[in-house]
Amino acid sequence: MTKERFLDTLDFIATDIVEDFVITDNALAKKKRVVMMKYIKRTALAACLFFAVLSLPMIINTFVPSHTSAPVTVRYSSFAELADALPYIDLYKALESENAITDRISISYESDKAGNADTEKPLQLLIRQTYEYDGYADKVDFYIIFGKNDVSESYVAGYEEQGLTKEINGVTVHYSMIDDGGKHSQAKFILDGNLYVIGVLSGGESHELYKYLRKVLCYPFDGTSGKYIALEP
Amino acid sequence: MKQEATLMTDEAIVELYFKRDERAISETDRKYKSYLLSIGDNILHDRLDSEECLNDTYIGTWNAISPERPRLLQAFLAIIMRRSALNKYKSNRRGKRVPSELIDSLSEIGDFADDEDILSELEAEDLRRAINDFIRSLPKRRRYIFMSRYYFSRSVADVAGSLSCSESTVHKEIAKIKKELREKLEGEGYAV
Repeated sequence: MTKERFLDTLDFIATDIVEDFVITDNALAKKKRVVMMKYIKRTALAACLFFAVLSLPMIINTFVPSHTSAPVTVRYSSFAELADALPYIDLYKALESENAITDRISISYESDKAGNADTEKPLQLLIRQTYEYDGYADKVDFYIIFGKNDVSESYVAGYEEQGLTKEINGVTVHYSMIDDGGKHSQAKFILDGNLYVIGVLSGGESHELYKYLRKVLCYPFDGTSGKYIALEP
Repeated sequence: MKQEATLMTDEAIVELYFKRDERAISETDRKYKSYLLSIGDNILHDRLDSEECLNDTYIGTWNAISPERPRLLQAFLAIIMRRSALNKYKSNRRGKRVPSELIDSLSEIGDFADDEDILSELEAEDLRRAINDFIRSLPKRRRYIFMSRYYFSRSVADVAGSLSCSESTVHKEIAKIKKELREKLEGEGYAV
């Protein structure tokens, strides 16, 4: 039998034998791809873990001072007590209201080396209130985040970029209004080198962001109409 | 990155052939082009020749697929492609030596294939049956090696890669296959 004869004979291999080979070949190729993918994933994961572990000391040294620096939050029982710590008197006067229930007043400070509040370094003021009117109740959070120059530095949740801004007394206010079963609105702006954030959950039928913005920005009172000048939506 | 459209199933492609819809060719090309070209490359070692055979394969499939539906389209295509590549190889080889994995694989059976080839058509038919019986008698792994190496002319390295074993393991299996094939053919009365 010559090689040519052998070659020609192979041409007449039964179709079912070729089919069986193709099925086996595909199965082997698939198995190899699965094993390769698992190998690649494991290798990638190991590499990530390796570099994460290697870089952890560097990250810690870069971003975390050598002593414990978690903020320390101090609660205050009244605006009077708060005024001793932070004299934002006009703001407190605006927020003290007959129909306002002050739920919480707190200042977060940097911690000193002993882990106590460093009262010379306030990070954030939070005043949480509930306003009741006409059978409704608005939940309002007033934040002042100290030493910020950009509204994008806000870490307060609930803001959705809608491209809405308003100039109020020379202050650019960025705000959003969300209807997701509740009426959530939030405004943020820079004033005197600090970032103010006002978050409102309105209990009524419409968003009530404006009247709380007015309080903070001391919206000019229109003596002619006897009303505060309304913000336009 | 744009995602590629899903490949058509074999059943759907065969249906297109039966409907004489020319999309059958383009869908076959999308799904099996690289596979079929690899069959041609193993035999011809020339991409242009392989592509020419690929074109012939599509025409051959278009003409041959009816009336019987192939059980496995990929195998049906592979058989036609291999046949086309072999014909091209023989045509290229006339008068000159042409490098091919085919030559290397055939040289492995060189020691029991001589230059004498006097077989009647009946004997040739018996030989085909004997080879088929032999292949079917092989254990699955050796059958895979036999088909990869001698039918599809894959390199030993490729076969080893598919089986995730060493090339020396494949060589050992080939040696056993040759021994068993010789015994089979001698038993059938063929001079080897």
